[in-house]
Amino acid sequence: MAHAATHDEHHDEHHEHLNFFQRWVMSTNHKDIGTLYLVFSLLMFFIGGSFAMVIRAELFKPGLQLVQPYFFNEMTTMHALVMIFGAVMPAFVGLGNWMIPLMVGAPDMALPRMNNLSFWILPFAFALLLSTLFLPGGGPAGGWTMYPPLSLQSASTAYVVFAVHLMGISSIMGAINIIATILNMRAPGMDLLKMPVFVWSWLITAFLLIAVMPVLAGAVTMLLTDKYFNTHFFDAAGGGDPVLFQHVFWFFGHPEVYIMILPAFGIISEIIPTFARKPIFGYKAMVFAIASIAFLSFIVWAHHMFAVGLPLGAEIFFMYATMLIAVPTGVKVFNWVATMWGGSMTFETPMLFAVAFVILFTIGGFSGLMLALVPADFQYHDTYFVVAHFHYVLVTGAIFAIIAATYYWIPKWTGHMYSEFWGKMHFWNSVVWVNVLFFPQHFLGLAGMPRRIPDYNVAFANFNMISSIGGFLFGASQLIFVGVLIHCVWFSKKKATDRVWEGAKGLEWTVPSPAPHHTFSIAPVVHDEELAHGHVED
Amino acid sequence: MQLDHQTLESEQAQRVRRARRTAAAVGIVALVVFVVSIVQMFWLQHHPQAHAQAVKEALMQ
Repeated sequence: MAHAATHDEHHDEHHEHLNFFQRWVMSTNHKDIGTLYLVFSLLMFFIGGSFAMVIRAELFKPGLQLVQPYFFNEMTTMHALVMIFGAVMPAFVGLGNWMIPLMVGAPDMALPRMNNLSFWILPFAFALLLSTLFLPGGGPAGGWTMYPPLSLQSASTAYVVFAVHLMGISSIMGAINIIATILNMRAPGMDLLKMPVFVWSWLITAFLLIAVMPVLAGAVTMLLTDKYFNTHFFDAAGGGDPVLFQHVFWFFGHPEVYIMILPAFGIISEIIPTFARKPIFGYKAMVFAIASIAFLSFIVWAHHMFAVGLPLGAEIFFMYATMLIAVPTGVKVFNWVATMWGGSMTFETPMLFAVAFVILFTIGGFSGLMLALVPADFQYHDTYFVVAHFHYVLVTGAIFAIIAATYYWIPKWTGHMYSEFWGKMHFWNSVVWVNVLFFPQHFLGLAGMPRRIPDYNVAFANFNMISSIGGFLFGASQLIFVGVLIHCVWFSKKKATDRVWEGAKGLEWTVPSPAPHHTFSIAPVVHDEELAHGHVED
Repeated sequence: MQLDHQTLESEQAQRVRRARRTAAAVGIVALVVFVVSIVQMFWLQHHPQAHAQAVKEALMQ
């Protein structure tokens, strides 16, 4: 290892001479591109978050307060598109870029120039998407699902379709790179069943992306041709069927939900063993559970469409298939708990977010099970109960995992420790206000408040006001996160050690902090005792 | 005599060559999925009776 480190330092000398443009725009280095993804994601998180603030401000009390209904619909649509494609997915790609080569002992991603292109497509895609808000006729307002015929009534269909195409191309290229890297670039001795769970989760996620992003591209291409080239794929007047779009969209859309949560499972499976100072409980079961969830994600799409009038047999099939997902998900939750059981636990900020993830994601999972029931879903469909469900999965699930990962790995990225006090302040504010924000939405949904409306019955006033207060304070809490990041990167005096966390295991902790620009130019020797999950029996 | 260039490659170069091959294969799969997703809709458009039957069956229940 010492030899490899010397070699890496030698390689590091020449990147000092790069100017800003060469370093960041022309970069082919996985760490720099990872940083670009993460910074982009943070920016999009705040843009998408500002749209959410508009939504919650309008819903603060009944009646139309601040914005016109069409603008409100634009906000709900753009909030979802920006958060899904701009914040959550790029954050995971950024984390994958930074950590996968370090974790498998590769010198870089397999296709570094394609990696650069994958990232640099994104700012153009989102510039195109966000520009629609300033165009005559406004931006998309038919929901992120883009159901025709509603979505075709917008003046911005072509812009949105091209933006989605660009995001899709970026995601597919990113997925190709990750698959090629993991399958081919591992250091000798890093067998597939010795890889960290985070790497496994990304490998499976990348296959999901390859399988479903082209389907989304196909669906939106057909929307485009229906609008501008006289086809009738989804136009009932011309012999088409709008429900077909829903089938195609959700064949992409449901695996997309898992694309946003499987890497989170991987992150939590890295953090909990570190702070419990125990190897992960049931490593192989964790890997197979992720693979099972990925497989099941392809056969549950119609649970989003129970209310459209599916054949009874189909409804029963999709109901049971959906409920089946609770089994591998339960395996994961129990294994995280079993990892903590009897562990020598400490609760630094990454662990706090990880424990909150396990509890709050499970709440989101349970409300998902309720929605899986066909008769119950007829009642819950298109209500705030659904909004509460997917925000528990995506905010306290995916976003909490991204935040946990940032606190966990930022000392390795920057060479500095973040402020533990302010990290904990960020955690406690986030965890309290996110529940004030989303938990009352369960009650609103059960009482019958529909989603995607700018005005509502006075009966829903109190819970909406509570939810909005939670929303504003949760949003404000994220400014603490930005403060912690800025302090850590530029002002922190506390140097990080190479291993950073006492219980941390894995190749990424064998390189110096901050990680040199080039690592593992000479493939490392992998020792079983160094692996994050301990020795795996054959 | 034909020289086998692959035997002269470093391990790292071999890994990168294999990675490019994997990337090409995965890229082709993505392209096929894109084409199939549109082609199946074309097929349904040109077999309206199959689609009409499916819709009828769904609405009868």
